[in-house]
Order: sequence, then structure tokens, then C-alpha cells
Amino acid sequence: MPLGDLAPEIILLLGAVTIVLFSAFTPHAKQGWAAGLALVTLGLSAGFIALQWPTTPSTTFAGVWALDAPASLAKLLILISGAVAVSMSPDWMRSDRRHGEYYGLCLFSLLGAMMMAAASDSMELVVGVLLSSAASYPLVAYHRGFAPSQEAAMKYFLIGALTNAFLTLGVVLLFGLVGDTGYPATRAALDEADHLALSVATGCVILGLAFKLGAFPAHAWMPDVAQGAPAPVAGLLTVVPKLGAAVALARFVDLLPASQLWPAVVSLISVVTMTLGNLAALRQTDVRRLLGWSSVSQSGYALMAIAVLGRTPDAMMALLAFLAAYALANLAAFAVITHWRGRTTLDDYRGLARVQPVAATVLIVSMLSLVGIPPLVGFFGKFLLFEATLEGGFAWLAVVAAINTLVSLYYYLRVAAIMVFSSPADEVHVLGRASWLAMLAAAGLLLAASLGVEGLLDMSLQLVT
Amino acid sequence: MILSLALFVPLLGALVLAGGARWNARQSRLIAAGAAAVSLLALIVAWLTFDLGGPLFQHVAEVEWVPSLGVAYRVGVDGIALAVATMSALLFLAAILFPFDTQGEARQYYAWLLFLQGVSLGVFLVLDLLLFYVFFDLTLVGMYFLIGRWGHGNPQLAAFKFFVYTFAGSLALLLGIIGLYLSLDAPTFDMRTIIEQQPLAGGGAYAGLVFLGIMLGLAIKTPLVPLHTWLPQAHVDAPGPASAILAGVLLKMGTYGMIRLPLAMMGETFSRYALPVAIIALVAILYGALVALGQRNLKRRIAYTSINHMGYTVLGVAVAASLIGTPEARQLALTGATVEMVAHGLITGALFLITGVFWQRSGEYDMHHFGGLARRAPLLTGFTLLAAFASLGMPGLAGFVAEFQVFTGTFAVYPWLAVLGILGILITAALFLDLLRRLFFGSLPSHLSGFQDLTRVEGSILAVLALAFVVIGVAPHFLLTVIESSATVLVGGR
Amino acid sequence: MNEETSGLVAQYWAIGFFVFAVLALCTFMIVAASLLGGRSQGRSKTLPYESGILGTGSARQRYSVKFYLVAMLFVIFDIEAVFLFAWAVSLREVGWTGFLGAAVFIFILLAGLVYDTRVGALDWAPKGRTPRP
Repeated sequence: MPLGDLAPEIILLLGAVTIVLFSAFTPHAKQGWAAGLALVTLGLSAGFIALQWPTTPSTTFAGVWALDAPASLAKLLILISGAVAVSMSPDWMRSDRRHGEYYGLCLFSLLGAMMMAAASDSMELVVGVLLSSAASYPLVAYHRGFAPSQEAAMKYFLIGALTNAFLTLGVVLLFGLVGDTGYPATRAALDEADHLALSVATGCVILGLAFKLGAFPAHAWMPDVAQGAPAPVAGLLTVVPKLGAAVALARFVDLLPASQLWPAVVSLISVVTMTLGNLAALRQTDVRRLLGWSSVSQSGYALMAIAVLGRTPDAMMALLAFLAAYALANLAAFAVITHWRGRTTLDDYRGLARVQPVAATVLIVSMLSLVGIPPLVGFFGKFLLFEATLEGGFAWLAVVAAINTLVSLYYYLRVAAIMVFSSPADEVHVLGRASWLAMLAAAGLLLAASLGVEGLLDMSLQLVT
Repeated sequence: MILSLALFVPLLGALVLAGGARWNARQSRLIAAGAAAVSLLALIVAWLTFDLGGPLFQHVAEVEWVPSLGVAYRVGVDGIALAVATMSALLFLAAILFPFDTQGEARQYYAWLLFLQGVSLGVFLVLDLLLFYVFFDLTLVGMYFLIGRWGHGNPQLAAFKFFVYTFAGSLALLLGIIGLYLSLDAPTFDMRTIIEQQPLAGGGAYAGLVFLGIMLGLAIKTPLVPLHTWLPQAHVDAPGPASAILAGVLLKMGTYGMIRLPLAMMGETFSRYALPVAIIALVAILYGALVALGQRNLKRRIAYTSINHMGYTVLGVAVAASLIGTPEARQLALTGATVEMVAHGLITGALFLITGVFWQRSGEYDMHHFGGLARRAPLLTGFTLLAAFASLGMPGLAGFVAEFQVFTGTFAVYPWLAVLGILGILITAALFLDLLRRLFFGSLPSHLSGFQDLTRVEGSILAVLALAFVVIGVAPHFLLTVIESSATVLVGGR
Repeated sequence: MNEETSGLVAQYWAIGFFVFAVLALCTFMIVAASLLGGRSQGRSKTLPYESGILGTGSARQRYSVKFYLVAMLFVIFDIEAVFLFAWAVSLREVGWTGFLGAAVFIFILLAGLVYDTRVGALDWAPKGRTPRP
């Protein structure tokens, strides 16, 4: 068994364990160093991914892990998102009694998402989803004295427990139908499988992944987590599980025979998710909650690419490019919010563009990227999505998405308008130098991706050839 | 190279102002004016070195950006783009120099104006379809913040309505562009390739849908009746110079886009729908003029004349697209449409700057509020008179040249539309004469006794604009040759 | 009834009988007790203790959170042992790679145990908790 194939994951695991031990033996004042450890781990892991960048798709460890460009790109994105979220955290968590362990949990959560992205086996998928979930619940509840945080964690946990149970049920059913958990064997055997049982299994698995994706009908945790969780965690959890789950879902639906009508199901979920997310975001008076709902609607857009998977070679590229654009923009937005000490109410954003021009600009730019205003990278993501959807023959879906984009403009602009056009209320408390740098780094990544969009496409283009 | 200079100097200026040190109001204005002037100079140089007998697109420059999608930074101009871009640069310089109360945020105001100039010129100068869309959308962002921050009345609502309405158009345009892009054998956004290949010729329903998407997006921007409803409020609540830009430059993007995209890239499809488009244009002409006649609000009235004037332009474009009639007639209509764009930009830009003067002096747009100003403010009266006459198509001024060509061309192709369209000119004449009567003649109300005439700066800026449309009216040759060289190619005459 | 079914019956009849016997025995005990046993009614019969001592306070007492914590830790480490059984039965087949994998696994468990000790999760009484350095 080639251990080297799993080097990125193993490094992450060892790093997480080291951090846990480190924080158990270190005085509180020095626990911030764990952030540095986490960053080093993430860097090493990313380095190994770059080293073993696959030229041809293959699997390893008895066909359980996929080694292909989508997996590598998704892992890289997960690591980058994790790095941004980790560097947002030291200032935020400084006074927390369990500062060090926090980073360990972050790494475990990232590891789970990476497993999801690379799973080529349904049991592997379950393990990834569960690891990611189990590590995320305590992250949301990290501030034990803060009631909204507890409420968010409880909702997250309850929805998660239910949907994870469904996922496991689906996987078990699938195993019963096929007699194997590996994807290649599953694909070969599914044609003869009982249709009804297969539909039930498919429904369960999609439901389980919809939870991680933040898609209808398991989306309800997203706004609560965005609002109640510690701001860096909110940034992490609105992005990272989605990256893993989208790729996992793409791999899963690709197995299904045509009789399952999955493009119709996925496109329906896509429409409901994006519309619901946008409509709910319209009336929000809380910026973080608004971002949470916007994150739900962005899941809906991402599902568009999955719906046309197999009908056009560009679908996977569009999915990954869109996810990358979304991840960078959302992280930049949460980095600003973190820097502003997690202020939530829309009224508290009055006139911030005057007092805090740089941070406000970053927030506005990231929101414009989420809408898809060119030449920001979000535009390319949406453009590729529209292109793939039209090419795949789902023109109606593209039109619905366009209308939704228009609706989303309303709430993003509302935030921008209140920051730019109103006059500031009182002085703004900011977190510190590290969060400032993290915010600039996130913004820099967003802009770099916008200008160097070719590199991103190049990486994801390898899946087509 | 010279075009990139024109494009990037304003953007660079905007960056300097936005990120830079604490420039005060005067320094900001100087920097902005300098950047705008450099940009204008670059375009004038491009004009002087434009080869009339040369290829369609000249001064071409190309830099790779996203080769896997066929996107690149490509700039280049034909005569039409060059004329419109140069007019825009001139208007931007005028708008920047025009005195304006920036409410203590001069740096930001000028930065946004420069940003808007850069991206607006980008729309006219690029030869890449995706980049065209990029700049097309970015103008919305610039205008949104200008109206929302420095407007009056209910500026945030107006800005918001403007953004959402026109962004809806942009999305339709985007879907259309993707449709066009997907129909190519080897997908690319290079406009030259698409024009050469005419990918949708004989494309049936698909081509019709793509055409509909693109036209919908451009018609909202133009705006054509019945998609014009965002325009009046945006204009009324926008600050004077921004209004001038909105009418003078941003509206042109719709009609310029019609020439660049549907006419040049899918001429065959456009010819099928030329008559309906021409009829809608006629409705816009008559409706715009009639509604303008009914307005009491000075700015609203001028805003509606914009709808009327853009109707002439669209009529000209539609005539050029119809494959009936001789190439000469169609070329004449297209040339007229382009001249109308230039003339309308200059004239209406001047008129909106004048409404800005009224607002700064009295805080009022209601025409009943004014009267008898001719004696009190002779300079203002003179310029308004000149601009109004130019707008209503008085021979010897720019508007006449444009409208004469449009209607002559139309007469050869759709005679009945031309006959009905002339009515629009009649109504425009009535409404402008009424406007002049109410503002400047009659007795001076007591509350206007302190009304000041134009300052020297305001006067000289308006004088430059007036000079431009007088010159175009008297000696249009320099403009016509440049436009005709490209119009002939586009209607298939060369 | 074909051959296959009769084969099944022949193989599993004992289980069926067992289930039946369990149900029958339970039913018998409940029914017989209710028929044969004596009954009495009275005011004090409904009290928790018939002896006349009145109960004080609620029966729903809160356990120390430590109780749950230790219970959870026990479950976690207990379940981890399951994986080691799987390794034990395939020790020879998986060879050194399997050994390495199991070693990593045990190391992680150990790290967890060390962490739990350090943060005082295993201290039964609150006062014995070592304050964090």
C-alpha cells in the first residue's frame, strides 16, 4: 500500500495530533503558537499535493481514494481556505481557555472534507462526512458562555445527526444492493439493481450530502452557524464542507444509471436552494445571517454544474472554478467581519466605508464577487456555470439562476449602500494586527485569482483532457 | 498602445486618488482633470493616425488573459468606436472640470468619475466580447456609487433601481453572449473572428433567442420604450455631471452595442427582425417626445428627450441592418446613427450640466419655479438656447446632420416610418421652445433676484462643448469620413 | 412448500421455538401473577415507600457531568478496541504495513489519552483537578 499517496492527509492528521498534545503541555500565553503549527502543517500538506499532482486519474489504497485532478484541486482549495481561516483566528481566540485545541479541531474538520473530496468508496465517504461533522460541532460551540453560539451548535448537531444517519442508511442500502462499497464495482452493478431500493438509497445519500453542502432540504444550519459561531469558524464552515461535499456529490451522481433521473432531481434541488436562499436573505437585518443565506443560495448555483455533469465536458471545470471563486470571496467577507470583531447587525455597519475604508472595500469587493460582477473571479465562476448549463441543454436553469443573481444583488447592495452612503455612528473596534493581515491576505487571494484566473482554469482543465 | 493609454490612465488616476495620500479637493480635481486630458489626447492622436482606407479595426493591441476560454485583452477601434470614444473622453473631461459641490469627499468623487471614464472607454475600445461585457457591467458599479453618494432627492433608491434594472439587462446580454460563444466552432471571444465567421447565419430559433437576449440587454441600456422606466428617476436624482455622463456616455453603450454585436456579428438574424426593431424605435421616438412635452420638471423633460433621441439612433441602426434598399442608403442611416450618438452626447451632456447649474443655484428643477432669467443670466440663456436648438435639430448644428442622415436613409428603406418619425422632431421643437420660454422669458420672480449667471469656468466648459457641436453642424466632414469608412464595411458596401 | 423452504425450516426450527417459548413464558408469568396475587388499596399504597417514611425532594437528581464524561470516554476507547480486533485476526496478511497503520492508530489513541489526562478529564473529583499551567 503506497503510503506516499496519502501523504497530504497523513501530514494533516499528524499535525492535528501534535497540536492537541502541544496545547496540553503549553501555558496559555503560548498557545497562539499552535496557529503557526497549523499553518506549517497546511503548507506541508499543500506542498505534497502539488508534488503528487496526478496527470492521469487513478485510485489508491485498494480503490478507496481517488487520485485525480478534481480531488487534488478540491483538497488544495480546502487547505487554502483552512489556512485563511486559521490565520483569522489567533486574535479572536486569544482569550479562550482552550485556544490551542481549536486549531487541532480545525485540521480534523479539514481532513474530513478532504476525505469527502477524494472518496471513491461509499464507506470512505461516510467516514469523511462524519469526521468533518464531528469536528465541526464543537467548533461552532466553542464559546461556551455565548448562547447564540450554543443554539447554532445545537441546530447544527441535530440536523447533522439526522442527515448523517440517512447518509449511512443510504450507503448501507447501496452496499446491500451491490455487494461492494467501491465506486467502480457499484457503477457496474447498479444497472441491474432494484429501482425502488436504489431510489431510496440515492435519496438518502443526496440528503446526507445536502447537509454538508448546505443545500435544501438540509440547509437550515447554515444561517445559524454563520450568525452564531465564532466568526473565523463561520468562515471556515460556510466554505470547507461545501467544497468537499460538492465534489463528493459529483462523484456519486456520476455512478447512477440514467433511470434514476438524477439530473432532474439535482436541478430541482438547485433551483429550490438558490431561490430559497436568496429570498430568505432579502429581509435579513443581520449581516452574518445574510451571508449564511447567501451561502445557501451559492450552493444552489454550484448544483447547476452537477446537474449537467456528463452532458458537457466543462461541467466539472465549471463546478471547481465556481467553488474556488465562492470560497475566496466568502472567506474574504468573513475575514473583514472577524477583523471588525464579528459585528452582526446591519445598522452597525453604518458609514464604515468612511472610518475603515480598506476593510469596507474588501467587504464590498468580495460581495460583488459573490454576485458575479466582472472582472472579479466570481464572474468567471458564474460565467462558466452558465456556459456549462446552456451547453448541457438546461437553458431554463441558467435563466432561473440569472434571475436569482439579480435578486441577490439587492441584499449585497444593501450592505454596500449602508456602509458607503450613511454616516458613521461611533468608533469602530477592530481585532488586531493579525486579523488585519489575514483580511489583506484573503483579499489578495481574491484579486490574484481574478487576474490569474487562467491558472485556476488550467488546473481544472486537466480533468477534461 | 495608444488606446491602452487612453483606457488605463483614468483607471490609474482613480487608483491614485482612491488609495493615495490625503489629496485635498483642488489637488484631486487637478489629478482627475490631468488624467482625463491625457486620455482625451491619446484618443485624438489615435484619430489623427487613423487610416481611412485601412482595415476595419486599427490600433489593435492584444495580450493573452484566459487563453483556455479564448479571452484576451484586445483593443482596437473602427471609425464608429473612435468617434464615440473621443466624444466620451471630451464629455468626461467637461464633467470632471465642471464645478460641483462634492460634500467634502472630493477625492472619492473624482476617483469614481475617473474609474467610470476608464471603464466607459473600455466598452468602446475593446475587441473582446467578454471584456466588453466586463466593462459594460463595471460602468454600473461606478454610476451606482456616484448617484447613491452624491445624488439628491432619494438618491439611494434611484441608484439601486438603476443598478438592478440595468443589471437585469446585463444578465440577458450575458446569456446571449454565451449563446453566441457556444455557436462558434472554435470558441473565442475575439470580436474580429466572430464578425468574420457570422456563426449564427441561418440559425433559426436558436439565433432568434440569442438575438433576443442580446437586444434585450442593450435595449434596457439604450433605453428603448417600454424598457425605459429606470431612466427618468436615475436622471432626476443624479448629480449634474453624473447625469451628463449617464445620458452622454452610458446610453451610447446600448446603441454602440447594437452596432457592434447584433449588426456586425449576426447581421443575417438582425435583418430578419429589422422591421420590428425599427417600429419599436419609432414608438420610442414619438413616446419619448410626447412624454417629455408633458413634464414640468426640467431634468425629467431633458431625460425623456434622450429616449427620443436614442430612438433616432436605433432607427438608423435597424435600417442599416435591414437587407432591403441600397447599401448607400443603409450606410447613410448607420452614419447618421453614429453622428446622432456623438451629437446627442455633446448636446445632452451640455444640457444636463446646465440643469446642474440650476440645481446648485436654486435647489429646484420645477420649471414653474423659474422665469425671466434671460436678463438676469444672459450667458446661461445663450448656451441653453444653443444647446436646445441643437437638440431639436436646427440646421447648422450637430443634431441636424445626424437626423437628416438617419431620415434620408430610413426614407429609402421604410418610407412610412420616416414620415411618422419626422413628427418626433416637430414635438421636440415644441417642447424645447416651451422650455426656453418658461425658463428665460416672462417676468422674473422675486425669489430669483439673486440668481447668478455662469461663472467663468462653467462658461468656458459649456463653450467648448458648444463649439464641438457647432463645428460638427457646420463642417461635419472630419467626423463623417471617419465614420463612413467603417459604416461602409459594416453594411457590406466594401 | 418446495424443497428449499423445508430445508430452511429444518435448519431454523429451533430458533422459532425459542422465540415462541420466551414469549409464552413471559405471558404466563404476568397473567399468572395477576390472577393469583393478592391486592389491597389504600392511601399510603401510592407512596414511594409503604413503610410510612415520606420521600423528600425529587427523584430526578442531576448527576455530576463527570459521570457522563467518563462514560463517554469509556465508550470511545472501548469502541476503538474493535478496530484492533480486526487487525489482530488479519495480523499475518497485512504484514508490516498493517503494523504501521495500527501503530499510528494506537499512537493517536494514546495522544487522546494524554490530552484527556492533561486537561483533567479523567480526574474524578473536582478538587483533584490539576489547574492548567
